[in-house]
Amino acid sequence: MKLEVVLQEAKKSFFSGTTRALRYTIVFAAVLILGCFYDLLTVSKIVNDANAYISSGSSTYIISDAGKISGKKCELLNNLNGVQAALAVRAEKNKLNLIALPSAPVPVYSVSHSAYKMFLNSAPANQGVYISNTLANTLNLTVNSKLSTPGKTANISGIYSWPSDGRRPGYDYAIVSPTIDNDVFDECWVKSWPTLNKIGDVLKTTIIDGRSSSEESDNNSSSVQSSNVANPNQANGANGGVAGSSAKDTSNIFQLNTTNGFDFSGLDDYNNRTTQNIFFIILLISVFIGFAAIIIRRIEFASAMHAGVKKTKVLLQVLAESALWIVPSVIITLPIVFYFAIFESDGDILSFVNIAFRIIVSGVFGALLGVVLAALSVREKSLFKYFKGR
Amino acid sequence: MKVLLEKVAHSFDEKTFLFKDLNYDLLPNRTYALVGPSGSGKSTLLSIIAKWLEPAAGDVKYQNIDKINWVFQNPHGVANRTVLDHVCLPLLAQGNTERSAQRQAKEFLELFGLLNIADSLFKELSGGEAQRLMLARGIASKPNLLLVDEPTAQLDTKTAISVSDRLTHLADKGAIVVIATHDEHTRDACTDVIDLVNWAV
Ligand SMILES: Nc1ncnc2c1ncn2[C@@H]1O[C@H](COP(=O)(O)OP(=O)(O)O)[C@@H](O)[C@H]1O
Ligand SMILES: [Mg+2]
Repeated sequence: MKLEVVLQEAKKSFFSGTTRALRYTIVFAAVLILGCFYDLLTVSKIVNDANAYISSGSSTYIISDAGKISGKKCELLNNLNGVQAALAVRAEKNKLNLIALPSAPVPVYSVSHSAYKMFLNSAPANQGVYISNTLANTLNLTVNSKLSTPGKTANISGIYSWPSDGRRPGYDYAIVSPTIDNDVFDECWVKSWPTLNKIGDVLKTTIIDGRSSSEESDNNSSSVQSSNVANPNQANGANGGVAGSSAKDTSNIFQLNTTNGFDFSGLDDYNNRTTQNIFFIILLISVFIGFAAIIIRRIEFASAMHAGVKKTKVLLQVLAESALWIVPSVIITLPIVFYFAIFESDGDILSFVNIAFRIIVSGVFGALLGVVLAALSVREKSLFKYFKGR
Repeated sequence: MKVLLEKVAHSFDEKTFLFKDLNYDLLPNRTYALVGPSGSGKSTLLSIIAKWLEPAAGDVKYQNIDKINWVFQNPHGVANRTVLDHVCLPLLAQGNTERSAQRQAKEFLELFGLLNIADSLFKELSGGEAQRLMLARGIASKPNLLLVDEPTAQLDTKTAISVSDRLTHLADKGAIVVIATHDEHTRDACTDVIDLVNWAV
């Protein structure tokens, strides 16, 4: 059988619909596209997880040392790279008796001026206090409503939400009241991303009498060295989350939300996502598709061999036919994948393109392998068996 | 050119034998009617003669047989390919150009009364047409040994007679033809009869 006759047969198979090229183009393109999107989705899932981790308060660390936190020093931490909010907090001893709610006094927290970065989405338009949304709902208050106590009246400049997602309770029904920074507080909160290296040491710089942050530290002066604040990442040692250990040190460091762990594991996931798994899975699926496309026609090919067509010619014919759905699948996949890589990808475009390229290569190789394996497995002498097995 | 069946026996369960000690020489220019009741092992013996199935005992020997064709009882074809395509394939495989293959194919179609539906698709054929098509294709592959399983099962008497005629004529061109059949006309058209009852166990 001449080569042009083989190609002619492939062409007739294609145009008669025997190849089912449209079906396999759709299926195979879907596999390739999904394979590429799997990577895209993995990245965006990691980004979402990171956002959830941050907004739940897991990346917010608190140093607590009643009456010993400098509001000014705490506010200074807002200048560090990666810090999203640094605020000093003081729980007021006396709860507030609201006129509208005489039976249930409300806790009040005085905070330094950057507190809005923690509690609100944006800087408040007006001066005033922030109240939790549960309190706002109970009293039917909105931004710019007035909050009245027997003694005075305060403007409400913001309403914050404090979901019970494992974060520290006590703020879900409370008033947060900005006060002057140059004051003494109980706590300094630092929300950062990525979480500051040596966050514990960074936080300890806000303690007023400047005790050393740890025993190894050679900084035992009473003032905090500015280099310690400016370059926290250069310091060695463990992350925060440990209680102060020296006898004089009464400070305590903890996460605002401890339920999600110290570390966000997604970062490792991101770096390790180029595992061989996805390539291998795509390869297997493609082998399966290529194999299936040919093996369901085994009677046709065994019969052709029985009619005298050599197996090598059958192999050539099925390769030519398969090219007629493999190539269009790749042609469909490329623009879609590159569109998303350029316009929708959250991650690094080059690494995505690199992975997409390898996924497509695995897929094409797998499909061809499946086609070849199927064609080689068809035996003329099994024709009768295939036939009875229908 | 010869096929020698030597003490051939077969059993699917190694206990009950369909036939045993079957000795037979199949010769060119002859047409053998392979008869026996349904289930007596006609199709099984065909697959043994084709060497697609190893007999439980005995031997099948070929002398100068290089091309076998077996036309099954149930026709199988490619649904969306034409009648002409089906018969052209063995001719193309023999190295003919498309034009020459088509010319010869039409002769085979003519022989089985299929020329008028040469452009029909396989899926459009009746059972009898499909069966005749497979015969035409089998003959077009120009075998030395042609095995045919129940060729007239799906044909009306008149067509059946003409088909057995065609098959027996093939033997005149030097082939060995073995036809498993129930049909009296077919049997009568053959030169020899192999009745499996003679070797049944
Ligand atoms: N592959 C097989 N495995 C087991 N039994 C089989 C197989 N093929 C055929 N048989 C049995 O062998 C017997 C003969 O079958 P077959 O050769 O098709 O008979 P015939 O063609 O004469 O009707 C039947 O009883 C059938 O069920
Ligand atoms: Mg049978």
